[in-house]
Amino acid sequence: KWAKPSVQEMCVG
Amino acid sequence: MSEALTLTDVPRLPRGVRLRFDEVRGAHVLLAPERAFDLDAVAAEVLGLVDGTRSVSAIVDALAAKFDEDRAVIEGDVVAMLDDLAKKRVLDR
Repeated sequence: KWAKPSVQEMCVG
Repeated sequence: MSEALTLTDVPRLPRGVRLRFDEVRGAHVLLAPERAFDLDAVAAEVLGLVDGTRSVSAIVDALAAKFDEDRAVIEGDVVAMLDDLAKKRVLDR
């Protein structure tokens, strides 16, 4: 089902 | 570059930015130099259509044909997502 797409920046250390 | 993304823009991933399926997470990730983004299934569908030949409008058309959702809703969500990625410099247009 369509839902607002989620893009989360990961913490890369 | 500072203007908002439009429907006639043809987005593409810049050199060094890749869409990958992360087996450990069981989800797609967008990998950029020194940065990575977790994508949910819908975001992965959107980015899977970003190939440097489709316009934003064509991407929305493809998604509207696949999902049972009002095209205007899909368009708003896709433009917002791609515009955000362009501002973060992980999408060229």
